[in-house]
Amino acid sequence: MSQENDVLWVQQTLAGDPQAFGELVQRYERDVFNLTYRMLNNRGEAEDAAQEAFLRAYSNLDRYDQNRSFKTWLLSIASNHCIDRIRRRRLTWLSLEEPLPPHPALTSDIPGPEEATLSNEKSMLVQELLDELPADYRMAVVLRYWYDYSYAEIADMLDTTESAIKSRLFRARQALAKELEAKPVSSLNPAMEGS
Amino acid sequence: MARDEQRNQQQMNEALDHSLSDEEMATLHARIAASDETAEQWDHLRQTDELLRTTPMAEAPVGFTDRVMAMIATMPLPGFAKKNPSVGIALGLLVAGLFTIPVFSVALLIILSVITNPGAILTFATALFHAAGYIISLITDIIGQIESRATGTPVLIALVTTMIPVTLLWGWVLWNLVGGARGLSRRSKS
Repeated sequence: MSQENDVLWVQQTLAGDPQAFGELVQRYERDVFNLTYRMLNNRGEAEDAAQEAFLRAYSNLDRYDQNRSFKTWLLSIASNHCIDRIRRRRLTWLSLEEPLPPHPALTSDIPGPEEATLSNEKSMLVQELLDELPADYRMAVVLRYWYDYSYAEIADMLDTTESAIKSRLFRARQALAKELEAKPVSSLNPAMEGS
Repeated sequence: MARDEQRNQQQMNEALDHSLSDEEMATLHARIAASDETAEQWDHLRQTDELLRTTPMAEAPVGFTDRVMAMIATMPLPGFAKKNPSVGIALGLLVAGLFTIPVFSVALLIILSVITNPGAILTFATALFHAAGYIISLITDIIGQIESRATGTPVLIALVTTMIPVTLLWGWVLWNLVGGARGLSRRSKS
């Protein structure tokens, strides 16, 4: 039913009704924002990236294959955009001309009411751990854990092979487990301890 | 030894994906029970997995959809929105009709004539030849007229060669000033 509605809204948008696209934005704002936030680790940049992903989806809506999932298509646009941003960020860091960008933890992310959940210890710990991973490993982890995509689906979205995704996730888990090992026990959810 | 550790880690990874059979799972548990180091590795992997699985999605900021839609309203129309399928289809049908109906009618007439009178094809070819000759002589006359006017009044050549590009340039500037097709359609709507 959800996919049927998506296709209907896509068709209405293609027929010249941009408000129908608003329904799609409303439905997927959380999915897209979560992905950009987990990837970029900065709420301001994540919002910009999520907006950009929706604008790109709108501009290229006629290229969307209506037999496939709209959510998957949208998330693959957001994924590629995040990877581009991370690459550009790295180039800026490498450039001696540019001033160094502030650490994500120091940027002015004024917490709003909706950030109450995010600012808890667990979420911050997850962001700290993810931030240590290379972008392609991080993307595999995000798509696997928050969106429950299979290896094949992730490979399709990131235009790579299933075995490459399997290997990235394996290495990412190893790295995260090592990072977690180095963290104080208090940073873990008490419910998880000893499980 | 290193190969065993690698195999353990791979199996632990597969266990987290729930892709091990009961038998393989039992073997892994036996290996975990036999080694403190493996047991510790398994604990850390499980904790990581649990942490990731239980972390909720980040909520989009309030008013996100409105901001995206406001940006879309200021964007130039994408390719698909510029097309008007009903007008396109109507024009396509009209052009197809204009071209195909006479062609098919003539073809049908020829076929009927040939069936009834084989000499008609020769008459038709002669008529076609005459018509082509007439068109060629008409074009030659027009070119001749233009040539004589141009040599009689040299200003005409200068006017044509300057006025056409200047007019095109002004047309392009005005078109962009009104915002192209989108601007014109907005004006006509308002």
